[in-house]
Amino acid sequence: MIVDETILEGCIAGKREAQYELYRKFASSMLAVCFRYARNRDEAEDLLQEGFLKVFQKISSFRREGSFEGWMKRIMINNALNEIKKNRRSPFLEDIDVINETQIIDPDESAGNPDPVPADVLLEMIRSLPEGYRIVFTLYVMEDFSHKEIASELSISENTSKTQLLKARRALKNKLNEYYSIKKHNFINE
Amino acid sequence: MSEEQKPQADAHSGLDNLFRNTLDSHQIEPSRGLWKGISRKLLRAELRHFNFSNLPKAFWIGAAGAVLVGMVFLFNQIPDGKTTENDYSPIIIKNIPKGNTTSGSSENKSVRTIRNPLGFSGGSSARVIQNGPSVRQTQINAASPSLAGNISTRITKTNKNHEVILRSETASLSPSGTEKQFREDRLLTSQERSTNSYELKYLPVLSGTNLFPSVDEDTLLRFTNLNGITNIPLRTHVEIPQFFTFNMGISPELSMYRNGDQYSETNYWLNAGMTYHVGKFSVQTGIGLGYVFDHADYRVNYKSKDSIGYFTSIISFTVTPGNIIVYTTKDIPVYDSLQHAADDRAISRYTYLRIPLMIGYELFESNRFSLGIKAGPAISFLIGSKEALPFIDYPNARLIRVDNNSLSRVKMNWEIEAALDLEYRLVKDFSIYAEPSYKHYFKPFETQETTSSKARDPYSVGIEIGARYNFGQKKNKP
Repeated sequence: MIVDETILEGCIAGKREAQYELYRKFASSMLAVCFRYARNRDEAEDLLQEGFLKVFQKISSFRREGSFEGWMKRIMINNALNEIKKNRRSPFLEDIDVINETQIIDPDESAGNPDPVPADVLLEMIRSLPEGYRIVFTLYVMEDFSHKEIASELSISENTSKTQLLKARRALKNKLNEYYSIKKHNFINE
Repeated sequence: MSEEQKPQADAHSGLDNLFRNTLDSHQIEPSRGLWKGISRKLLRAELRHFNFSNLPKAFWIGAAGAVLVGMVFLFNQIPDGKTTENDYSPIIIKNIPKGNTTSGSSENKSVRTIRNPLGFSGGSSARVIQNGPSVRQTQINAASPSLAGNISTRITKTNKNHEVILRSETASLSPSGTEKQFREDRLLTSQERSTNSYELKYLPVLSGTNLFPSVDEDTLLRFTNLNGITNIPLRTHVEIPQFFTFNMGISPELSMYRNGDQYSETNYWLNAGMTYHVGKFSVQTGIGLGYVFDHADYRVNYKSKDSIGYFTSIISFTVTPGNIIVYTTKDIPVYDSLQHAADDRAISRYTYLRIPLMIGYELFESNRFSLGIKAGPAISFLIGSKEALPFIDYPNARLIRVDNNSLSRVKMNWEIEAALDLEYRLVKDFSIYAEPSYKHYFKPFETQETTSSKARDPYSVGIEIGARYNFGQKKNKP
């Protein structure tokens, strides 16, 4: 999504119409981002609101080198992570066991392309995960963070990040299998 | 985002790609009122960072002029607070025989003759003998003589520009015995108020009891005994009551806000305040100690050995004569260590200190009851907390972790309060009061709620009940 230069200039000048245009353009996609870090819709909208305020506050520092949407998304993610840290939520269980890379490999994992699943269903699967699983999975898979970066952002060890990811994947896989079996069952019944 | 290699990515690429590809372009429509919230916050931030130094000089000159004009206006409106009692002695009106228009020098009193506003005509003259310094005289035609006199005279104040009304009630008696009563109101002029002199307008006293042959003696006596004006408590300045009151009260409150769902909490405040009253206006400040009760949410994670199923174990078997094998079995339960999470909610107590600054106005006042309104800002600080602990009693379980999901309370909050003040005076300086109030908070109670629309505008309703004592100059109370 490309943002019009006049909208950017208007936002830098603090013009409300331009700020509204920017909001209108990106609010839906950014709310989907915030949703992955929030416990419910209210919290996601809180994050979105706070995120937009930060975007408007820092928009003059956007260098126009990369994508504006990517820059904005990063602000939303940072804001969400700050909120999680600020509110003293400690969802990460520090596992004593060191997880070897080999342990992460799940032999049953299908490498092929699974059947398409509606976005709402997938989002709900992510949201139903324990918070630690959810945040690590989202950062690793959706935002392409490394374990090192996740560990640094969340003040946890890399091993914890790996464990949480492993558990998140297993849980999601179970949920997907459940979904497929229900779907198959319904299909047969139909 | 990361340059780091993800060695096992391939192993999970199907799952990861499914989520990544599906959710990457996913969009969720925000609530309709969300932009309004952002816009309001932006406006608030702009006002907060408003730089006064950028304003043009013309604005400053205009503002200074406006302040000056305002101060002059205010200075002219505020009374000096000094009061001067009228030092006039009672003015006595006497009935004087017809034709006697000379001053009553024998009584060593000044003579003041008055007009005839009711249009009585007659040949007799009237003289008012007054202890005051001024002497004036007017001839009044006494062709239709009558007796007249003041029944009462009162000074009353009006709210408008501190005007003073002189109300005279007079009665007259005609020679035929007809009695009439009149009432006249007039404003004292500023000159009269400032110089302690005034001219009374009331019925002329026409003299001569012999002129009333048809009137019985009692009536004549009653009229001749009517004094003109007595004891007028005229003050040259209207006194504005100024005094202090001290109050103490307790206020239960219900605060409403949203944290996921609509949510409310009960607070109790113990307030003490001092109020300075000037006329109908008042300024109040004080201190309040509030006990706020809020939920604390915990998630307790524990592991316990739970039965996950059973298997059938063969204990023995026998072979019947017909070669049928009969097994004796027993179901053996299988246990495994399973992780559980249980949510627990407890009640935490927080203590706040609150300092208000309220401006009040008295709308109505009777002998015992008064009704007023007041409004103003207040600031409150979190000064203590007693956080509740989760209830953990899971037999045969191993506690893994306790997550405190409670939101932390804000350390400082601003609010604006509006209240009705209903006061009932028990004795002269002691009263009880009830104050239903509404408070609007500028910040949410908890740090998490920084942006959601309802959570951003929490409010509370309550009623303070307490007692009040008047200090300093007393009110004119029962």
